[in-house]
Amino acid sequence: MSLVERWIRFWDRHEPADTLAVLRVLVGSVVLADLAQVAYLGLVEALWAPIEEGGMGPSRYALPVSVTYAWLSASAQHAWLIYGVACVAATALVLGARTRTSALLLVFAYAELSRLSPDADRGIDVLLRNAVLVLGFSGAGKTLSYDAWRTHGHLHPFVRVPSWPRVFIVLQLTVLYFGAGILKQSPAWTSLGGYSALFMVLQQPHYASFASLSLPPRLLVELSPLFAAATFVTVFWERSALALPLLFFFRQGRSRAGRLRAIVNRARLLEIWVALGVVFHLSLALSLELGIFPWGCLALYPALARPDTVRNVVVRGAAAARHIGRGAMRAHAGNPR
Amino acid sequence: MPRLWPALRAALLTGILVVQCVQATPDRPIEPKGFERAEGRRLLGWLEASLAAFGMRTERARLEQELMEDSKRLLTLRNTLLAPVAPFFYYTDTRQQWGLFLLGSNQCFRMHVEVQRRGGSWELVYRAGAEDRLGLAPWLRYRRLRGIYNPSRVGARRQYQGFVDWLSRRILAEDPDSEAVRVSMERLEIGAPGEPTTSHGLEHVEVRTRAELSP
Repeated sequence: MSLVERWIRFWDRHEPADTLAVLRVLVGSVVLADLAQVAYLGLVEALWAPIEEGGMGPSRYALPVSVTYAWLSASAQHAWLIYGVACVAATALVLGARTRTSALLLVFAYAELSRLSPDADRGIDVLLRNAVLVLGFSGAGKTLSYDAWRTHGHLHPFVRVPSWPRVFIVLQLTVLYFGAGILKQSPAWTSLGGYSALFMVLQQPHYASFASLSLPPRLLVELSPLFAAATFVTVFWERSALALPLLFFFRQGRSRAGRLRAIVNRARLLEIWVALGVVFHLSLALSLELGIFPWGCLALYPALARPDTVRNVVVRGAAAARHIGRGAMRAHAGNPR
Repeated sequence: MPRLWPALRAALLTGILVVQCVQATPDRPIEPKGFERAEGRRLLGWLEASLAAFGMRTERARLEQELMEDSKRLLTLRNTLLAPVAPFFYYTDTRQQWGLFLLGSNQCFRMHVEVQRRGGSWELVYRAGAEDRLGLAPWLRYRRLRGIYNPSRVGARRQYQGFVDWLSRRILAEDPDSEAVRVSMERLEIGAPGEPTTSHGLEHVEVRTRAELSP
């Protein structure tokens, strides 16, 4: 088989749709949670309305900035419209209702919100938009979704879909972490500054959680060698993401021959990399106030798992939920009031 | 002979990957001040040593100049290659530039919010991570607002003025005894382990009076 034919075959592989469905639910939930927080804090108009109507800019009546404002005019009402479309599309994405349309609509509305308040749009928002765009062109809505229920009569049919979107998500994680790791060149992230970055971060008033800021300075100093080690591991782990596609490729075809493949799989390097990532993000979630950043990154991790594993987890989870539900119903029926 | 659709799809996906790889290359040229920083000097030292290992010795100033010119040329090439797909990146607002979690500098800021009472005295009502007399923390610690007010390396962000307007309006509406609001950023230098944090004074000081903000 020629190289070109192998390349075509690689991108034509299929797998159970469960992994992409789980990614769809997790990514959509993170976006929805953040949008809900904006409404809870009453910031919709402050962030996205034109300056004349109480917004922080940069949009004005005379400078609409976004496509929707250019079409319909800049107003707080239209800021609510874009926000509403984003919320409905994110909800539909989580439920898997008209998945492709809702994903593409979400990307457009999310991008509109970004144009209306560019400083409020962070790297994690770009990452989530990239992921939603890939999911929009995938078979993520073929199972665990309203679309599946409409087509097959139940929520969790066994469907096989192209696996390239999952490969794209893995490549996205690679570029994300490797890029972030390479850019960590400032002295605090290197031996030039004694790997003091995490020690510094925990004292930055805008980012550190109240718990971190209330740590006694003496304790921080005593723990500083631990923070230095954690800083070194963080940079090493991020830069080692360059090997992620190889680890992923070896793990997917673990039944194939090859000494290097066997050694890498036996050493469980992919599992170690994932475990470090989970610890890194959960530590950030506990010690710093980064909003959806840790959860948005972790939402993409199921892409690294084997599709069969994800399907088994989903099947077992559904069985456990049914068992708990039946138990609760029996308890309720046996104890009438 | 491969079937048509899989072949077309493979070609399309390859094209997308190439475009995304080009997008992931640096979107700014190397600037002279980059070589003044410790990490810049170190990278330059490594490059000199690598070139010397291949028998190519060059003066540091010339090397810096060549790197800056090459980075400009590469940026021009990048922009030319991406021009046909620019509308896609604009409408989806997606990109592959990842400067995630680059915190960790010893330089940082701490926001102060003060209100002026009727008598003219200023009262501190919020100091990031310490003081919060008006219960502003849930808003001011939200990531999107922090992205707006937290100064970047080059200074205050574009939406900072709008943020100060919004915050002042909010405080003055809830507190009729206040006449004005002052928002400022205290520059801090975090000491190495065992050394104290030093304050370098207030920057980006903005004052809004009730009269200014009344409709």
